[in-house]
Amino acid sequence: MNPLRVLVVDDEPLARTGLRELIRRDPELECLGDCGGGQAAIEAIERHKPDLVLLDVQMPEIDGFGVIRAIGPERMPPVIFVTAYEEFALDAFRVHALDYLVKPFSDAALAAALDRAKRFVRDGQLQQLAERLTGLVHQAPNPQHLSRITVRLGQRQQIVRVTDIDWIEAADYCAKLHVGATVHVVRVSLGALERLLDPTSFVRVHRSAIINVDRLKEIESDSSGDGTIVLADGTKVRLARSRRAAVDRLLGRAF
Amino acid sequence: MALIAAMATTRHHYQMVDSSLHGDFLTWRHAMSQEVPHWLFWALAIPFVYLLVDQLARRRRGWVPAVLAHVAFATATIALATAFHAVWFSKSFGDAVMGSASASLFSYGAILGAVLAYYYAQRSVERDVELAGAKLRALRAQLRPHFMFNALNSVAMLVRGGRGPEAVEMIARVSNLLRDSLDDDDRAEVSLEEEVSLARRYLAIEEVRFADRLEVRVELTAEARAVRVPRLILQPVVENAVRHGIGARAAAGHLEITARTTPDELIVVVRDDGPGPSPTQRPNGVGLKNTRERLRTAYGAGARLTLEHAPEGGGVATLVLPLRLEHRS
Repeated sequence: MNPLRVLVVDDEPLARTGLRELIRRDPELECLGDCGGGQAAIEAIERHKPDLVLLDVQMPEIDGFGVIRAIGPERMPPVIFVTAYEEFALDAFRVHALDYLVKPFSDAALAAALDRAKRFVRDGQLQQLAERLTGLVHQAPNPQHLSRITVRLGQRQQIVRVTDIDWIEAADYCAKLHVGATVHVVRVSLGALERLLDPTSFVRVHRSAIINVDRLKEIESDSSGDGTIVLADGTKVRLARSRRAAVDRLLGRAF
Repeated sequence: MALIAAMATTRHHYQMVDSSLHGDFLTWRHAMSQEVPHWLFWALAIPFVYLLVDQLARRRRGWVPAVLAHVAFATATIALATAFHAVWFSKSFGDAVMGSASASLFSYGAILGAVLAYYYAQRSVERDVELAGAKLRALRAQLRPHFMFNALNSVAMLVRGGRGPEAVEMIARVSNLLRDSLDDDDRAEVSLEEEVSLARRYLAIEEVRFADRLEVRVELTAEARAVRVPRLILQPVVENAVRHGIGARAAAGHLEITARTTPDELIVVVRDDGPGPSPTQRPNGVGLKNTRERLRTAYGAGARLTLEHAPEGGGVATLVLPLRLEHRS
């Protein structure tokens, strides 16, 4: 049997290296890597589709719940939540029968959680998991919308504020953030970004584009029902007929 | 309570019944048949008196309306009691007034006294419970369970990694911080220099947790060092900078604490090179809300705490405290 591929997500380096070491000792598991934040976790899950994720709940910007929201409960791999002290989270995990570890955890507690996860994955009870995660995401108190995105510039990291983004374009499994004349590529799917961004400011206008509503200048309609959105800087983005209603709804509220 | 009122009424009534019977042989049974209706009436009145007391207490309109309300309510109730008495014992209303009005007045007074005593005793217990709850919440916030459990997790991970000496060091640092929290006294003041060293104890733990991601620089002028400040006023500001500044970025972060004085103010600046305060960050978190409250208590409107984006990136927290007379040059 192939070992289960595990992803470790925690914002503390010491916690990450510790978990990786514990996973390495188990021959039935293989550590795919570790992520220090929610955005990196989304990238890694979309790219590598791990069999199991050890997910820290409290992280800056995109927390554990945000990661699940972005990936979507139905596509999320089995997850063991790891948390220090979030009373809300613990209650929610119990209610939805999701597995969790409280920090600091004993070797035995980790082993037991990993054993349950292995059985779960081998038995293929993924549908059931999706339902539980959906329940969890719905219960989470008013989710924080994404406010900043980390982009790579060579070796450096740079922060892009979402309010500075004009529009976002899908490119394979990545997204291109158009910020003025600059284009940043992030390795997060357009769908994940759509689920994280504030839906009153950003709207999907067709399968491969999201626009910042503040930049919208005009909408040109054509006879087929599709249309073209013109942004403040003159950029034209196609508007799909199926997205028309959503855009109108948002504009009705915005103006 | 009903018993007290009823017994008092009985005693009083007993003599009247006695004298009005003109030598008839008085049995307990007879006395009960005369008295029980009266007690029952007043027992039924108790919940209404309680409601009146409760409503008056909630509306807080002072004692004059309260007295008027009680006089009105007592008059109405006693009139009703007298009418009841007249009907029950088939007397004329005039006789009933003679026979029962004073007893009714006495009953009302007794019930009111007992209800008031009970009501305020209960309220005082409720207040104590509320106060204890608030104290407990404050204490819990002070112990920062999230931070503590994460620190203990770091210890566990160090032990698992065979890094014994570092684990012991971490235990000592966590213990020091815990001791500082337990010593906390809202009224206590320390010099800014001591306050900064308290903040450093906290930073010493974060340095382990975030490995090599945290670099700290402190620069205080000689005058600023000596200024007395409320104890643990700075630490939440530093914590905020670490959590939302350094903690929010993957690369190494720098934290800078500087302080100087003007002729009448102490200005402490905590600067980080993280992404700056997030627009979605809850209105400065619980930690800073408490800090602002403490500042208001200690200095009134003279002190302020602001958080903003630095023009060159990162977050800047500025704490401005008015200098007390003894510090002014």
